[in-house]
Amino acid sequence: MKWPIGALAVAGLAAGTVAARRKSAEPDRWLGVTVNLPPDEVENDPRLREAFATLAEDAETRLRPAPGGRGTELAAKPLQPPASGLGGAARRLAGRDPRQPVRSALRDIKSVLETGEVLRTDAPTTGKPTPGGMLVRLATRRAGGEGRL
Amino acid sequence: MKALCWEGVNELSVRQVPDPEIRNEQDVLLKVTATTTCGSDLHLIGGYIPAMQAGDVLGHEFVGEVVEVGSQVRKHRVGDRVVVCSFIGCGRCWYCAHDLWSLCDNSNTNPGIGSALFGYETGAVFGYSHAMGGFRGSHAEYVRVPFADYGAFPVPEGLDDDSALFASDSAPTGWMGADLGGVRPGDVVAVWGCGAVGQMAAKAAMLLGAERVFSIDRYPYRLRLTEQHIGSEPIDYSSTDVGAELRERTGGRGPDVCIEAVGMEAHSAGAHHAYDQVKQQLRLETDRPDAVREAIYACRKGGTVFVLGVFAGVVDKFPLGAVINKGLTVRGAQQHGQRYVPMLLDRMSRGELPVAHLATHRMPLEEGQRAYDLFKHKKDGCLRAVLHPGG
Repeated sequence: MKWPIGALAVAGLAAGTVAARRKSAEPDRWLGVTVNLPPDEVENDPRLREAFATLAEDAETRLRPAPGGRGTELAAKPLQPPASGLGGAARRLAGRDPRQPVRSALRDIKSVLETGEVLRTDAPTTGKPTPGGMLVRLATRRAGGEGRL
Repeated sequence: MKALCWEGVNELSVRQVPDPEIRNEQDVLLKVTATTTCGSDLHLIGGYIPAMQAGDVLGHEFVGEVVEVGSQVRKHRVGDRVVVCSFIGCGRCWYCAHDLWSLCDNSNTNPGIGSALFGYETGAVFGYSHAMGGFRGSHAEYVRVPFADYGAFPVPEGLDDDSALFASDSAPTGWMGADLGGVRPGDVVAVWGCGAVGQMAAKAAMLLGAERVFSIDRYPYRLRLTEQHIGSEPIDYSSTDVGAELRERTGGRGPDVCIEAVGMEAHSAGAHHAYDQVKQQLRLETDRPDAVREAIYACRKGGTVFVLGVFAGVVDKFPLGAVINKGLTVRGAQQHGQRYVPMLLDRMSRGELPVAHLATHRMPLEEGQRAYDLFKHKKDGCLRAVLHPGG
């Protein structure tokens, strides 16, 4: 049973690392991405205005130049504060954490502005169900809205 | 179509899977003509990288023929013969724009997994787990190539598939180790591992001007092939003290640049190998860093250690004291292949970079399980087994 033990160990390690990092974090902090394009170009792009308009119901948004001419920082702060503790963890697993759709939206708009598209992964070729595979499927379902953003 | 799939730990099958399709406008579909086993696949097969699902298609080092083109693809047409970099890069994020392609911001469709493991996600890789995007691999009749204008490169006339294949991953990975390791004319370089990547790193060091290059392994046939085709000086770690040998052969200085091309399932001759085996099997550490440790101790004061081997998580007994007290530079990376592939194809065409000897075994896709058995267990002098899905 090398595989599930390994999966659990790494998942536990990752979760522990994230939890440790989040201990001192502001629960309603800004979530941000940097677009590798100049601020005037980003600001005037109708795709950004549309994305920020869509986000407006759920989050406050802002745009500012990145230091050193390194592009444009886009950020959003969910209006609804995330739950903490076990309740917060359960909401994250269930895909009901208010930060998740905001992170996904920021990642998507960054990709659209930089490349013109949001990359989709391949259709699954999944065979038999396994315990490890179930963990991976859960992780991939939440992966777009999770992470250090 | 047929594909070689991961079905569970040490369990592979060749079976029918749905054909891939264009899913983004910048994709191409490729008919795979040659695809090779790679040492990093063994970490997936053995369950050391736990983000695989039964049915995932393996393979990330390949060449093929373009059979379908997305509407926004500008550089490729149906019928083109191309080699594809194993890492998928968008070409326009800050990292791709700075030639750090394996760190692409926009290719990994599962950013939360890599971000949780590493702090920030990496770019995506073909056939290399859902932590790296979940894209299907190349051990199949067809494969989809996203951002094809940036990751697929035309193969020069006269360069055969079984050679061009190695411009996909082994050659750029090895070259990067020597290049970003800062090899300069007159340097002494030591390379741990005589697989394809280690051999390419050794040759790259020579082409960048290193005066002496040592290649370290324990299999006589790999050492012999490296000496014969690459021209580096072999050291068999199973019969000698590598640190002492390198110290003696460098006049007491130690190598200027040490390149580790082994990875998370390293072996070594010392008692610490048994220690690492036990800890890894108990999941008290995810990776066995034997070769990295040895490289750090062997490196000269103020030298550079470049880690090319694949590592997934955490290691134990990392000699941080040696790093700080000897003033070492330790650097690592997954390959930024797109910055090197065209140059490497040119060098292969001119005969400067020998790769033909790497493909020691050629077989149809249907023999994929046998290919990995030969490759993993170093049977029959296997260095790389190349699969030809077209037969």
